Amino acid sequence: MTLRRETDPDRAREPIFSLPVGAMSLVYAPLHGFATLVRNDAARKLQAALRGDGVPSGTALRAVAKRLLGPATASPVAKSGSLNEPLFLGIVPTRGCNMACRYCNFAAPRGAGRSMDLDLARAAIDAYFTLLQEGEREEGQIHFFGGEPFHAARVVEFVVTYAQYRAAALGIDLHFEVSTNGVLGTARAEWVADHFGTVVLSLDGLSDIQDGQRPLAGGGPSFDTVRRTAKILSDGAVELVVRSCVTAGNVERLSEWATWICGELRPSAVCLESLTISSASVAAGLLLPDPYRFAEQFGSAARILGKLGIDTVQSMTDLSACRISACPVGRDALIVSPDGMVDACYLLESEWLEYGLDLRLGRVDVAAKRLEIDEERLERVRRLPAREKSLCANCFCRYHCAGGCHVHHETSRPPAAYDDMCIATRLITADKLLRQLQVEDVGAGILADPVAASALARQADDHLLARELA
Amino acid sequence: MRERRGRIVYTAPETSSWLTDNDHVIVVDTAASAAHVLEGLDAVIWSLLDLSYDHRRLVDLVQRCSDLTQIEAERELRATLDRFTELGLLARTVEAEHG
Repeated sequence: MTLRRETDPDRAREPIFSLPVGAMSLVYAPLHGFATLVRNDAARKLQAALRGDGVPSGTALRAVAKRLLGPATASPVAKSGSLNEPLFLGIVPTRGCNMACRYCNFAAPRGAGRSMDLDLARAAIDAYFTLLQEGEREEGQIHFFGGEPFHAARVVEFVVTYAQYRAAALGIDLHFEVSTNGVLGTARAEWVADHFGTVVLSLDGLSDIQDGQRPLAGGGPSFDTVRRTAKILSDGAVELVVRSCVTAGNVERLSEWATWICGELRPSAVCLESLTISSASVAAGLLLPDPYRFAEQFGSAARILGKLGIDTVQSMTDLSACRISACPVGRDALIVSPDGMVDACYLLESEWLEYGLDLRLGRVDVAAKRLEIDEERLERVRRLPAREKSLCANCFCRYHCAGGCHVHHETSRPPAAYDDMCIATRLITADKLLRQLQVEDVGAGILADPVAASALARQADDHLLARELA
Repeated sequence: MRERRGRIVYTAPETSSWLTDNDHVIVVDTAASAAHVLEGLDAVIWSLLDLSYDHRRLVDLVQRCSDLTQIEAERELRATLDRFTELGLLARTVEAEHG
């Protein structure tokens, strides 16, 4: 019979995690901003220290214990107070698009081509600047979403020109970001390179992949045009992020893709996102990548790109901060649609309504040049990311992926009922942590070992004090 | 860069280049060893010229950006183009109409 000391339940639930990495343990305390790789016997000593069963011997391990027992930052909480620190102003110039991506559930190719009226765009900018001034903010951000924003290029050009003019008069430092498919003429691409701070360019792979997954609206190939745009942006001063959608069809080619990028472009980052299943993707026969293969290939691509100082990123695995939402929802982003509605999410209204969410915040009052934000809606949206996410209760990624997309990812399932998105996120996050610890080979080894990868991905409770360490 | 009104065409000298920053445009003419910093509505008009808009659209956008009436915007645009021409930022030529 073994006598076990009762653990303080609060301490047991503290976000200090431990993951099996072969015979080692990756200890991660996100709120302490701390990670380390230790042998399992050392991890047992850390468990004892956390339970109050003594201080481990050895200077290094004692320092680790001291760090884990020391102060941590507070858990991120839902936003509150007045709306004078908006995350950014989002402008959707149109839902229309000049491409017919086979997985896209947005307006294209149905072509809801209504463009935003310039008076509406101007009123939205004026109202946004008023909010910034009320909050005594000296920096602002305007992000463009679509459809394809440059399908209504005149709107983008007006917004950039007018917003720069007003920002200069008000002493506001303004940053522009656009998500684009890159089907642009040379002159327009050069203009974008000159006027934008960040461009997120969708390019899924080499010509067979890009043309297969992202054909033009008429069915023609898009690779050569987007490649030319990418080159112009890469040679310009703009921060270029190449975003690639990963499916079962291109997951095994991410290393090849990374090598091509290294030879052709100098992006600041490459964003590799798993396909989101939609009615369009199902109809096109596109399949999700196997999460284990995705994680391993992501790691391989990251190692290739990392040699040139290019970051490999994914929206669910941003370790730069602890957060309760991995997207703009709940963070006071104000996204204006062509019809003048202000929403918290850039997805189509029909999409969030289908999943029982209402992410509308209000509307733009064009005549008054102000935003009519419904306080009740704002508070409801702000609370959304802080809702109970039982699926994530025991997961070490919960302060980074924050449960994923509020619309598409169900988090009310039992703890650890991980789906493919969770598995890929867990493996990629662990590999990133190991790379940060400069033990790249350890991460690569785990991802290449199906048994070890599964043990890490499927661990039911990541809390250090919950692990039975051999 | 061209702004056509009837047969009048404005062209930036081939020796000039420009850079748009957050709150101003810097136009450099290497032949004249001159640099000009354009701010406010001057910068707006230069940016719109750079987009090769036609005269009517230029007037419309200057009006939208500035709260001027259409007549005032037209006048402002003309005065600015004249000033840019005097400074050597633009060359004004008259093209013969065809047909």
